Amino acid sequence: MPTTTWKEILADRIPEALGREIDVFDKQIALRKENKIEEKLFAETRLRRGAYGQRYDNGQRSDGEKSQELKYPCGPLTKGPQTVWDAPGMMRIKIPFGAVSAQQMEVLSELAEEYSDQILHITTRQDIQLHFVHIEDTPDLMRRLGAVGITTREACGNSIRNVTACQYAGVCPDQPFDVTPYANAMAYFLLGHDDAQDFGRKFKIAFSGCKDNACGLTNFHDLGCIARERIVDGQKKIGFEFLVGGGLGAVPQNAQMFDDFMPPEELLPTAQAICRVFARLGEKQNRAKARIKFLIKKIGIEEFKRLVLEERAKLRPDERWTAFLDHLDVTNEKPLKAGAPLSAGSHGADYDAWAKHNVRAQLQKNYSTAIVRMPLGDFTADQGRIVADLMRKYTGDTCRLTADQNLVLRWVSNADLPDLHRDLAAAGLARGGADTIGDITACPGTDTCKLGISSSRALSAELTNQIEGPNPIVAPEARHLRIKASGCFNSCGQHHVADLGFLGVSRNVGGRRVPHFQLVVGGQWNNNAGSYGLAIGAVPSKKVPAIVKRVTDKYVAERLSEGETFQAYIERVGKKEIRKLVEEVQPIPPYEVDPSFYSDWGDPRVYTIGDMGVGECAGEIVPYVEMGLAAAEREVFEAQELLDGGDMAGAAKRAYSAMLQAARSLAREKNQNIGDTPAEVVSEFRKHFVDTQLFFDPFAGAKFAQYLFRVHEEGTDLKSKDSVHQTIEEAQLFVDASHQCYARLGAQLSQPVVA
Amino acid sequence: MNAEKIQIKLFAKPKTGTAIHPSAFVPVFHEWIRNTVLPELMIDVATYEHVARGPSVLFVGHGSDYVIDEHKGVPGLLYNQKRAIPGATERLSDAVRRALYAASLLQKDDSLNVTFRTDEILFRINDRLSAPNTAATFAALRSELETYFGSLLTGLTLTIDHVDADPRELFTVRIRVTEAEKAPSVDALLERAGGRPI
Repeated sequence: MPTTTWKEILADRIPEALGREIDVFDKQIALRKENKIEEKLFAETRLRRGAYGQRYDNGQRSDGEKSQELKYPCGPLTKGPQTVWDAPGMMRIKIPFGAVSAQQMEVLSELAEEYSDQILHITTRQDIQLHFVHIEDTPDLMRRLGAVGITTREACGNSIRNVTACQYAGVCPDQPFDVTPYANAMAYFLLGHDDAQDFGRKFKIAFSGCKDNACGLTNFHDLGCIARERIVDGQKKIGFEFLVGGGLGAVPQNAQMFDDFMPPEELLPTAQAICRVFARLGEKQNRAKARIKFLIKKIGIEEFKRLVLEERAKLRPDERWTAFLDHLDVTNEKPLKAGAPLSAGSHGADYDAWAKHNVRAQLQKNYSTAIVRMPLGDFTADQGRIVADLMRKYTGDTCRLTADQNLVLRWVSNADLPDLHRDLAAAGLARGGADTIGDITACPGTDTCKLGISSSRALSAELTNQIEGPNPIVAPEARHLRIKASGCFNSCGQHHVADLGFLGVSRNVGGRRVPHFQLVVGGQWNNNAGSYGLAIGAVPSKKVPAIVKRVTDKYVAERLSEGETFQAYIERVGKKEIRKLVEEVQPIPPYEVDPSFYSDWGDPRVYTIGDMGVGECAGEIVPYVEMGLAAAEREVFEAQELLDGGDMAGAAKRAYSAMLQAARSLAREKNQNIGDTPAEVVSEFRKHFVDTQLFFDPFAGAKFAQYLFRVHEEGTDLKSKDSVHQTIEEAQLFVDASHQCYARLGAQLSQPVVA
Repeated sequence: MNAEKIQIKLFAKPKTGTAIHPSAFVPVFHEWIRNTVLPELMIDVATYEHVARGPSVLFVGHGSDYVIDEHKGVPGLLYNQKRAIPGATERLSDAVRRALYAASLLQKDDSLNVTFRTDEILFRINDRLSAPNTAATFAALRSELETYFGSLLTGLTLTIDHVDADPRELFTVRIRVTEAEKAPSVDALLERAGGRPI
């Protein structure tokens, strides 16, 4: 049987830069195991590669009676503060605008089987998450993804997260144009960009094809772009409504207008300038106030805009800002078959029931999209392979993941819809009722999230069963409403923008903790999540189905007409009326009479909040310069390894690269526009740190800087092992001196300027 | 066996009636964590009953997972060796032993309506790198599997077949006892396999 490695097998299929990044991460894992990287730095490093913590990774778990220690074999080794090395974690996989090919789906399915728990989970931001993954499996997992064009880089941590877009982009009748290539350009332009490495918190970007519908959800994103069309001087022009500072979390904020018609060529540079302003002025200490929405609120949109435009004017021109505009067809999809009408006659009751909510006509005649419902966003590896087969059989290899945690097959010829339904049904994937009240969105909650307070997933599963089961608790007239559930106030389940939202809280009843959900009503999913709901009151978890029934029954009974929306109804009757319903269901029996209320859905343990851990949503604050110096240090280590392996030329180059990396990390603190070429790095380093004597060692003066200058001038074509060894030693001293310089000048370096 | 990440599936049937209820396993596994019933580190219980034909209930451990599995619509207990034990010669026997031990405990639990068959066992390798789902892999492993299972199910006629319907799936081998009624009980087989794992 083969005995080679994934790294060897996939070497020529992984883009070189990505392969190198993964090798570096692999090395960092090895260094952390040897305690040669500080845990906080490693934590942010792994987060920026998508490797996230998971519940119980502090090595403690309540068994319902007491907290038990989980005795992992790794001993005291950690992968971050309070995060045990061996504890399973979550791998978040960025899927820009949710677009997945059949081949990618197959690989994702393989990874779910081999490294996770056979389940692929679709997130509310069009990512795929795998749970229960061991940190040491992640490099191979990343390589296998990299070989099919997927990166996990910056899926977590204080970085630009997955760039999302409406799942109907390109096929939606409401769109003025397809936003996909713009979302694609944005995603890859900002991926790993220097100006997006120094944030105090994460940054989320979304694109929408239209203003009125829900799909893009731009209103609650840090940066939202809505496709717009205008007639200017008699000519049709396209652009974007450009919104900033939206967000959910504990304090939801509506995005504010930055520009009502931004031309496409300004999209990327303006985003870059925003990143710089956010990195420079965003909060770094108080993590609860570090999202860009707080900065904008603090200084005002006008001042924020002024700062961004000022920054924009200083940016070093980048051809990537506009190069993509010549290749807007790069994300085009081609249908497998010519569109043909659905044949006349009956296709069966099951088909009709499925098609009623799951099928939607495309912009293109005789084509439709079909929603594949994935309960709680989950599907198995087997189902993933079946979906891949169906993509190849019906769609021309296209599907998109949705923020509703479903999957949309696009470009299905209408004539094929009954066959598609039959194939889906055979795989257990033909559940109807998409985008109705039983199709509930839920974050991971207490199942796997360290911050979860109540079980949003188990609640949602229960609600779906009660809504779609043989005795539905919701009247047919209320089926169009939406429910979303979050396990805590951080709103990953997007509960603020549902008709009925639930967020996990806990309450004391008779001296015992009881899982509850706060009811939030009247949020708006349409209009790109146009408005947020109102918190009404906390309901015991086990009473949530009862409150869903009461509220929906009241709405159906009291609405003025079929046309009165739930939002309008809530506004008309007021919170107090709904509050009364909540108060009716709030009382629960004492524990001694009925202990079931003191456990959460799907979990027989007596409820506790003792399992909550320190969340990693906020990542660790590790300044860009520190990340750069750590990378330089790692390169010195690698240079030594290369030399030990007999690769003298490689070792010398790597030692030189380490010095350049350290010099650039420092120099960028003085000039954000610094480029990548060795000549420019050395020149800028000399100008800002040597000519000014800032780099001078108190005893050795400019000695260490001269190491860099010498190898830069003389090159790395070294003849003897001794001379290579000396260069590596000098590189280590240079990196050490850079650390010393940073430590001495930290405060002065914190305010970078633009040359 | 050089291959790591071995899976063993024992097929389940209800003791009475027609249904096995996966949700009934959830409190049992929580109890197993509380009382350290298994001789290995177990971490959590995850439920996926909402997903068709998948791992309905997942009992997550550090070295192994135990899954109430409905893959292909056929219920059973799937033992999943995640972090292989160092001794290559013991991997297969260790996996079988752990699967049988868990099965033995589950079928003795009065809250569960389940028994496990031994006339048919699935062997899988959850690692496409070391064991792609090919005839070559089967050829390389067949002898070892015949020896081990022949010894475990001694005195019985076995068929050992490569399940190769879809090369994208995990490498899978089906071990069948030809005369099913002669297959030993789970407990008898566990004893032959070495008893309670260490």
